[in-house]
Amino acid sequence: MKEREEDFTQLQTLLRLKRYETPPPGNVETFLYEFHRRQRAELVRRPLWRIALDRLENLLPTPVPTASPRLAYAGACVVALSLAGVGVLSHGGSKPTVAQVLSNNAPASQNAAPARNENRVAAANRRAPINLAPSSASVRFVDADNDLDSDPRFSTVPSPRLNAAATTRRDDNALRPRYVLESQPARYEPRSSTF
Amino acid sequence: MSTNAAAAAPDHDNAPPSEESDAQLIERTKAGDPSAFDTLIRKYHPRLYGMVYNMTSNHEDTNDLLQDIFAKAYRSVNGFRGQSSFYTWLYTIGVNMTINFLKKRGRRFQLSLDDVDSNIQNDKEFLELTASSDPVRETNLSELQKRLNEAMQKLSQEHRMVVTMFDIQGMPHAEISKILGVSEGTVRSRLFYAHRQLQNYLEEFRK
Repeated sequence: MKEREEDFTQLQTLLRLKRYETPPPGNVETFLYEFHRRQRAELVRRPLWRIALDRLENLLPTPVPTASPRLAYAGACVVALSLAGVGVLSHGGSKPTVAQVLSNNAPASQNAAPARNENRVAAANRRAPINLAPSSASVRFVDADNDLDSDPRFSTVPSPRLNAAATTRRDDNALRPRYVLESQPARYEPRSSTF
Repeated sequence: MSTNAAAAAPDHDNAPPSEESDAQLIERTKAGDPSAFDTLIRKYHPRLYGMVYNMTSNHEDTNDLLQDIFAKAYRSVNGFRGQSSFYTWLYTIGVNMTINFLKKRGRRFQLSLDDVDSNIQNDKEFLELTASSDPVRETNLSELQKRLNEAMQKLSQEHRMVVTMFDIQGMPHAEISKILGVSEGTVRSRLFYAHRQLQNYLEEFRK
């Protein structure tokens, strides 16, 4: 065995020289820049439900028993639903109808009110032929409010002020989380959401 | 050969020490502070880079893999319970992802080697080696580097990994066995076999 170890000494010395193989200077900073860029891109690509699930996980106190993740998630859902219920109660039970929203004199672009009802209007308007504004192909949005077609409140003709292009762009911007993308400016309007 | 004055030492452990401990940085990361994870990246990137690079022998693949490794670590940091050191946990993620990557890559790749730090000329072991061995002395550094990497790539992934961790990165057998999930006896056995193979591939550099 000793003879074998001596045989490998020179080899191991050669191998240790590989420690001198180093990346170019500034590699770590370049790496960090790219890391942040990829994180932003991934955040935009992720569906809303996934982001919400991650936020729920962060709400959970640590340590979480790993043997009962379902119980933990169930508890988190209860917490989230409770908070959502509190939010609804604090804003009043009744929501404005479409007609009330459309009769609002404030220009659509300056309206900073919660976009939830505008989402419903915009979602209903999607049925009409419209020119979709170019939106980022990497953005995906999963909307749970899919049963608007059967709701009689949303069968009204949209106001002329809400022209197709504005509605479409607003529709896209209202529904999708807005981030600073490389080719599009961000227009972020706060939403009444627990997240 | 690069004149990289910044990376003076061959040991990749010479990353600047963070004022905060890993535990504090991890807690801040979990709390949502991304700068804390940046600090962890700066601290462990050199060592992880060394492992991945020595396994892939390709600079571009190494950078891409490291992006995936740190991204996965960031997404999984809430699951880190502190049962091992953060470095061991991170390194394990890196090892697993590197091996998976290599299985997909197969043998279709090109050597894309990093430059060799000029401080190698001052390395005591290198000086002794060139003084005592004619083949090493007569071979220029880039050729030597290329031959070493080619020989490493001829090893299987498991054998290359133990050589990388033990011979190149200087990790003890116990830590290697913990990361790879095998016994220390298996680590030693793989090392012996790998050394014998490498010795055959590099026969021309023996005095």
